[in-house]
Amino acid sequence: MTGSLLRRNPSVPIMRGALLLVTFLVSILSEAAGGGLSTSFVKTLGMTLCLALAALAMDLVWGYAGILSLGNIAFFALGGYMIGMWLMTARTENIVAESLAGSVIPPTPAEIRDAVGGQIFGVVGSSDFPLIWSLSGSLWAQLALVVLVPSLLALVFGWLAFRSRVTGVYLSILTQAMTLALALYLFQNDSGLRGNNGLSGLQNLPGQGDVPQAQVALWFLWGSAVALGLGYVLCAWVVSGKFGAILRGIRDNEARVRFLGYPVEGFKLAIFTLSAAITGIAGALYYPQAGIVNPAEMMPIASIYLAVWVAIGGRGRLYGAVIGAIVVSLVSSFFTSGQLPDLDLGPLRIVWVDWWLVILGLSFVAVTLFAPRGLGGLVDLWTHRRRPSRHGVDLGPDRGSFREEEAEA
Amino acid sequence: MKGVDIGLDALSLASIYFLAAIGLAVTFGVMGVINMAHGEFIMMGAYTAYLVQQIVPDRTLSLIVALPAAFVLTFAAGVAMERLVIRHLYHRPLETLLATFGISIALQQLAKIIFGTQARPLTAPDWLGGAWILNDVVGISYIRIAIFVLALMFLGFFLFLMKRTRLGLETRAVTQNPGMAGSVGIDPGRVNMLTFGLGSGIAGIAGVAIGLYAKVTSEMGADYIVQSFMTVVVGGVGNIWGTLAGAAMIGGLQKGIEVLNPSNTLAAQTYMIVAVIIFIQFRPRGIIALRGRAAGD
Repeated sequence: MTGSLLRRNPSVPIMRGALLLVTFLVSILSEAAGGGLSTSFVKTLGMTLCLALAALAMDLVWGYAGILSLGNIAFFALGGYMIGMWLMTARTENIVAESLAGSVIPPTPAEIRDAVGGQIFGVVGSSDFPLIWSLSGSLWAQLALVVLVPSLLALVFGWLAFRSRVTGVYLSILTQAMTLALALYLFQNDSGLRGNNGLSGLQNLPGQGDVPQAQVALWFLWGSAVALGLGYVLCAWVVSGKFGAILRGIRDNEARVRFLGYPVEGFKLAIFTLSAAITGIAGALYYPQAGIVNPAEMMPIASIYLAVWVAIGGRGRLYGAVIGAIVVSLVSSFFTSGQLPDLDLGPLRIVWVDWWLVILGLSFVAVTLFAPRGLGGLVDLWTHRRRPSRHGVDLGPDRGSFREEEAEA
Repeated sequence: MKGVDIGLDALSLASIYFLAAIGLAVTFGVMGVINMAHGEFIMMGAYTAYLVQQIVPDRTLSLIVALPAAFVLTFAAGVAMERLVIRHLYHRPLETLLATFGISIALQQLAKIIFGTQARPLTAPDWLGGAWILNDVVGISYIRIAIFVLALMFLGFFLFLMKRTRLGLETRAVTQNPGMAGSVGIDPGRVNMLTFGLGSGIAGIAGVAIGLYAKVTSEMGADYIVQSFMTVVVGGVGNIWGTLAGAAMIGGLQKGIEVLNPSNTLAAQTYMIVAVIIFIQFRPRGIIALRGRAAGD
């Protein structure tokens, strides 16, 4: 079985090799190992790998099943929130326990709990743990929630949407609305997740106070690399074989697959939920490296980024999503880091930090118009894989029917 | 009395949503083009009005100049966008969504670079400044009444355009069957270009009105885009009365929920969106669904 999986997906060993190489190189060159790479760069790399994993999940639903979900960023942020709840609780507990340990009467667990609540929820004018935090003391419970909460949201939302046959752009707008609703809800102070403050200080691992950030960054890089490697194999396995063939069938002609007798809604629901779970895990690895998660992460502009990465990388191919996410987010952090000197064009002064978004937006338009296969199309040039050109006049009554040039060839 | 006040509030919110969505009713509802940069056309209209106000100090006069100026500018922007981008993507709606989102990001950031991040004031003329006060409880500012009147005017204009003019006839023909329309001598490219420009121009005028009521920022368009699309989808694509019903429903819902939990507009918006998502379960084609051949697919 593994043999056929690798044969169908020659990119799997290449991707795993590349991941291993990069992680190894960064590890020996990093600050923690006495090398010259700064900790912030290692963190950027680690976060980029998480974004690549999220893009992979996006490609699964969009590139393979044709569902342009603009809600994936919500799953991403939810994963971050779930792990953030444990990180904040556990770390604050340690701090509170330390400060109370010196008092004459040893504090009761209830007192510690109250003090922790006051610390965490002081910013939103409360001191009690909301109901949704009741599991926040347990790492394993929160890790389970990282997967469960996004999957459950995707399951319920997907069931509602697919059942009533909402497809195409309507589905995109509906998922966008879901993301907006969630973001607006979380912006409230009484949502129980600290309103627009979000969860912060996530880069400090509880109980590992003396470990330098350089080392922590490296741990997360390894974790992210492992997650991406495993996620890649999982996705490759999912999209190869019969399941993948049906997914592509749904993408290309949903009605036809339905008439062939396949339960289209079930397949869509399965892939949507799987994608949400993977995205949740990616988010749970991303936000401890970013240090903060807040509802602004889910604003409409953010939800489109995932689609941008997949489109620029080339959708419908797993390595495309990974390449797209890595290239765009590394170029993006290069432009926004302020390393590039400003460009002086007489009256106009190009500050790259500001102009980067303009460039990104327009290059995205250019990719959609001129290179629908994205960066992955370059691989096709190399492997001499060409699709028949379908420009020209229709010969048949249906879109996608053979066209002029093909008839002549 | 309280009920009347809430009713007026809901009506005025509904007319704002309607105003924001009516341009989309043309581009999305009639043509079926997803234009995520629609919100940025609203923003462009508002910034045009702001610029005009810097040049023409008289408030009333500046408003009179700003309305056609905003229309012309956004009409031109819409035509340019249709010619350069959307024309090539008519058969790929998802790609249209993404490409226009790219344009939306770029335009938003450009506005941020040019005008800065702080809100720009757009002052209404004095005769729009006050409020119409019936008694202690019931009162409504003139600007909201003006927006309501403007929404009504747009509704009339849209109906006249679609049902009574040559362009409207050609537009309907092209959207129903471009091949057949072409064979009877209508140029589908030209009609699409003009219709899209018109939808964008309406968004520009709506932007002037919304700018008078709210603040002019680079993100003001993004605040309305999801709601506008929901208004059109909930109402039923391709029918202006549906858009009206959708705006009434969304505005009414939001105000209604706000009454249950005042002081919390964020929660009201959240529940409104959730309610809309659930509503679409029962009527996936909107309140007023097209039937028969016009419904397409």
